[in-house]
Amino acid sequence: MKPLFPLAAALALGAASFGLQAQTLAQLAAAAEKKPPVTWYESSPSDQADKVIAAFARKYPTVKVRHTRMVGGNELAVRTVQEMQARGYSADVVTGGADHLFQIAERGYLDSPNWASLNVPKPLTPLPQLMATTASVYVVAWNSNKVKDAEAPTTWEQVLDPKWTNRMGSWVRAAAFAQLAATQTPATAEAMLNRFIALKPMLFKSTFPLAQAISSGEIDLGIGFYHSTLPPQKAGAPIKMRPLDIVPMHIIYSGVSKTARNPEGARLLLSWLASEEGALAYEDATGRGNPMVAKTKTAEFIKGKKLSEWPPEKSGQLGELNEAYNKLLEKVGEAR
Amino acid sequence: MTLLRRWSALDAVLALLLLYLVAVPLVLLLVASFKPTGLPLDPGWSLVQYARTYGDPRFYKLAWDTAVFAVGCTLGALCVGGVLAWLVERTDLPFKQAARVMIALPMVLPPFLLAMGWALLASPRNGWLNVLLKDAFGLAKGPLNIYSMGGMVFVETLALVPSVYLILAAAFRNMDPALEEAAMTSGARWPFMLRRIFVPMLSPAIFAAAAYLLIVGFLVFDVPGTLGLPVGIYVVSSRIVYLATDQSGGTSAYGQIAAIGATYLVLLLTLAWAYRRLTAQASRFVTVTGKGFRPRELKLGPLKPLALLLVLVYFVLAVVAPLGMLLWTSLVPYLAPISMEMLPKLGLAQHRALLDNVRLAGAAWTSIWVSALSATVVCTLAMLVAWAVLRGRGGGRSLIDTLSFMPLAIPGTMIGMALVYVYLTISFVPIYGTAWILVIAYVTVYLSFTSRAASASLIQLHPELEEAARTCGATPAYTVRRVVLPLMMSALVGAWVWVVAHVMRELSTALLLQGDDNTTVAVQLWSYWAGGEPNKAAAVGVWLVVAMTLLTVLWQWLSHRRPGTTP
Repeated sequence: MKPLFPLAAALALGAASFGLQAQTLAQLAAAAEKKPPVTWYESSPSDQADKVIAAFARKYPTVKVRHTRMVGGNELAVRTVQEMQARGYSADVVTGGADHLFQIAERGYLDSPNWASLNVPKPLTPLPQLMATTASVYVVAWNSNKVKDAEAPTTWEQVLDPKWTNRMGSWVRAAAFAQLAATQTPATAEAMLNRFIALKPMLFKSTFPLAQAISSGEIDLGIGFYHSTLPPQKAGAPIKMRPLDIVPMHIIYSGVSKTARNPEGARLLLSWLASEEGALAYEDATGRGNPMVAKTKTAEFIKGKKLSEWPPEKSGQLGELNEAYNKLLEKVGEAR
Repeated sequence: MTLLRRWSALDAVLALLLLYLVAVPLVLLLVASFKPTGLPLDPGWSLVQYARTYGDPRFYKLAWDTAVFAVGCTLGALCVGGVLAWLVERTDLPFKQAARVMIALPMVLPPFLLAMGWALLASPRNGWLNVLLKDAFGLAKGPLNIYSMGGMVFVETLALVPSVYLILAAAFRNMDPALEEAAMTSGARWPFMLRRIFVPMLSPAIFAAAAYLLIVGFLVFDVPGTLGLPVGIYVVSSRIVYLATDQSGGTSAYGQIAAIGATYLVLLLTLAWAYRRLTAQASRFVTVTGKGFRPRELKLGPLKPLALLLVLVYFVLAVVAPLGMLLWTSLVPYLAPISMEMLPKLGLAQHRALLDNVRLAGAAWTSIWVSALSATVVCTLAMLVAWAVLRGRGGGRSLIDTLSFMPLAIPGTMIGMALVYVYLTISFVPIYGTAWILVIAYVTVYLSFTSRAASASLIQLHPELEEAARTCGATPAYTVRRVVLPLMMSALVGAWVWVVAHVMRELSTALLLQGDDNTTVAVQLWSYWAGGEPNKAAAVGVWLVVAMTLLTVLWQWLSHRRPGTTP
């Protein structure tokens, strides 16, 4: 497997950002207000992003942020690379999965700020280029009119029970099983995936329509995300969820572009998102919370559970597993 | 000679413009297919993308399933659209104006909303129709399954019928009845006339429609993505979208997309070659000559109610039923099947929220002007292309015709990607991230359809009309304005409305080119759907259909009152 960043490059990046290390948040805000709006590529719907930006503006009213929705991490990576190649700059802040930011960082497009000097807790920055801002947490969700709470699975073993055949749904990507492999070994996760395929699950382009299909009763239960189950639940739909005994998840990271036109504003935005205030505002607007910030609902939801996730430096291995498992999941068509 | 030189100048200008619009994305497509990363500006050359694509055994199953889907919906749409066009244009079907609107209207419904509506109607477990049938006949399980190849073909057929109708209706309308009259005088019966007169005379339009539908069937994603993907039925378009959005490794697999796109280019060029061979002798298909005529209308007699029922059945299946489900979805607080227990929860909250939605208002305005401008530019260009190819004598005819047909083979995703590179590089044309880049993309994407529609219409006009005008001293511009344009207006207006409707609902290119201030209604609608707000998406969909219905009715009204044209 390829190392995430060559040591020399990492050192060079660290040295390059030294000039801004000593700045306080107030100094960052003062410098940022004289520059163009902070441009932010991220995947939340614009309505939700507006609420996050409004909360940020209450704290830093003079620093403007412009959000552009990048649907899916792959587009984020490609768009950023294209813009950097063609005009030398892209968004000031990019937010996506570890594998997507890996694509950008590997080309040397991301800066390595000294996050500690900006009061960002160390666990949020496993690598200098990446800061954890939120996460997608897997849950089992079920239609409470079709499945009694006591009957709903609490473990992966119960999820794989043949009684759920033709009643199950899932994301079209087998990413939950790839993340399970981080703690269960790839062979075990693959065996689990094969049993899952035997249930003939319906596959959905995203976990949002999956949650809606559970709400409508088209399927009885599914493996989805915490944040995508919330909207129908809030609307009063008969859908419930719980974390399983092992909780696969994807931490979503953010990075600052090396050629950001407002680097101070970019750092300020990310520092704010890492704070309790910012993390709660983000979770309130999007439903997707940062499990590494203690007071978020997401952290509370998975408290005491065994988490399963590949660290960002092993994005390459995760990518290989995703590819192999996705191929397996395509056999659902033959299984039906 | 002056005239010839002028049209040759037109050839040159058109060729340059088309090369810019078509060749640039095409070259980038080919370059991407030979790059190890799939990104055109990255270093290195490789055949790995082709090896990956063709070395994967799943590709051949994909190709087969795609062919079944594409051919299925092409045949379905040709049969249904052809019969409907014939009924409306060549019979004494009652309520023709209403029928035209009813047949054209489904094209305003975004296909993924159509698929969503049908999923709610005919999903195996709780589809409304299945529930009704189960209750009525005491069945253990619902007999309909929209999540199947048959379901995909059915829904895509419903979506494609308006395009076939628009192409064939103009051709039916312009058929000289002299041939039918001669055949009838000679005692020919309808089957004979159908085989020996209608099909040969309509063959340019039929082949134009078939070529268009076939390629669309290969590339369309909405319906296969909504109805096939959940049960593991993949077609090439699903694979392309999958490679763009869900491919593991953190980036879109543009290299493989490009390799697949290059393959389709070969298929398209074969189709283009066949089409050109067929239409090489344009005079064989001329039906509008210097002599005046009025198309013969077949008296349906006692079959009239049956014919009207056929139109109504199509309208119900393509609009009323799925739109009814959308309306229901827009009134309930979450996705739920029709049931008595949901009645107390019905409300207008989603519709009221739209009125205060500033983003949606901005998106609506962007969609309106982008679609109107794109349609106007592409229709003008299409007419010039048709003129240069069919009336010109210059050496650029073949190049112009081929270039105008080619965009159909390039996935919208690839055109979008190419435009991002082009306009990021040409910084002195500052349209990156603006709505103007969408206009350029849509002119390129929809040039194939409009140029085919314009050609099919122009083929039927005998050059003697223009010769007569010139003999009377008319300039070429005057001849085009007073003779050619009025006769082609019906087809061009139809193409214009078609482009407007398609731009209003187009998603993949708009998503790729999305910038700071060019969000369209389709992107906003998709954002609601993908973001877990299907009810809001349904509410937007309902109002989109209302707006497009008004446009379609206006189009019919304008066409009807315009002297010298028939809608």
